[in-house]
Amino acid sequence: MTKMENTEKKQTSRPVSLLLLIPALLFGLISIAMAVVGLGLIPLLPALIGLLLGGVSFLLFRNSYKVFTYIIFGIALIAALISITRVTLFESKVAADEAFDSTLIRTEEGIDADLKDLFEDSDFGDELPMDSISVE
Amino acid sequence: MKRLLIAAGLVITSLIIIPVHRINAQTSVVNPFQSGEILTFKGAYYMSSLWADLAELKIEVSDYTAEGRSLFSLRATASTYSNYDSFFKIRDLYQSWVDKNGIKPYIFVRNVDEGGYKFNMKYVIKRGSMQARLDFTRNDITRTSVINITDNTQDLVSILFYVRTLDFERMSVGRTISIPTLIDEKIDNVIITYRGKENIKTEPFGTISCYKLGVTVNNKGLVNKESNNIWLTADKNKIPVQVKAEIPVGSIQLRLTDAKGIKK
Repeated sequence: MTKMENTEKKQTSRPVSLLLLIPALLFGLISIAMAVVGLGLIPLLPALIGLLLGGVSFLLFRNSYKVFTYIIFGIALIAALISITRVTLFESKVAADEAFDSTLIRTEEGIDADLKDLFEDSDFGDELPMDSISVE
Repeated sequence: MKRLLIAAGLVITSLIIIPVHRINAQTSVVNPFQSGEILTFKGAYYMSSLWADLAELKIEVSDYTAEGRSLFSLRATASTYSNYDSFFKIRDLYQSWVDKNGIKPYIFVRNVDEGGYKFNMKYVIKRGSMQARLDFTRNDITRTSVINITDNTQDLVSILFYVRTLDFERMSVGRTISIPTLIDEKIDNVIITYRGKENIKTEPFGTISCYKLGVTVNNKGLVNKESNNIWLTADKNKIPVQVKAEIPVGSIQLRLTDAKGIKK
């Protein structure tokens, strides 16, 4: 293969390679973002797609954007590592929330009056439907 | 002859009625749960074998006395895990006050706070007039409406406890039960289908035999009729251990992670 032919092949392969690498980079970045937020093991999915697209580009166009491909691999692997580490080492917890706690208390405060009104109301209706209850 | 027939009819009727009356007088309602029961669930999104834990659901049963009446307060709270709070914080409260004998709701409160979208709903249920009064509050503005109910109407919390009182051992697979339920501002029929028994792996109890129940609203599932299921332990407690709802991409699952105060 002459030097000219080689250059021509490289020129045609580069745009095709980019068509694979740009989505691969996007998937890699999405997986990093998802892993940082803490979406469990879901970030593994875009990370795997990123690795797959990067891998295809690397196998088909070995000499195109080599460093760029390695960066994509790196991003996807870091995202996968963050997700797996977070899931295995850190337990999900609900943060203490004083405002919500006070809502729980406030909700119960007015209920006595509502129940009193309800039980005193002639429309209350006190008959007990027994049809669905298990009995001994 | 006519008198004789009437007398015979009365005797036969009394023979039929009296034993039933005696049974009702001697029996007491047995609930499969008690005050102090706390069930904690982990809510997660599943995409094939990958998942993300999103929120915690806690369901608590406590005693409540009002005007000399003994009630259950059934409280369900849903809270997102701390890592989501800065993106989409959920702090929802669903609470129902029900009669201990019959799981008959009197008041149902729903306080929603989802990503800053807030509203409060309070239903006061009057069975005498077969109506529920709804106070809907959003942005400090309250509007009141009246919803016609049926005698067996449940709310979003009490329905779970009502279903726990059902006797599935006597049911055949495929049997359906329609329960009118207050959802948003109307009554929808929640259809429960008994789908037999399945062994389910749980965190607190290990692998346990469960009743599998299909749940649809007005006979529609999120994806299809068989896409939403709940599993209750096949024992006297009928503890909900897993809930699964298929969505167009993946599924939402609730899994029991802790159970305290279970009735012995």
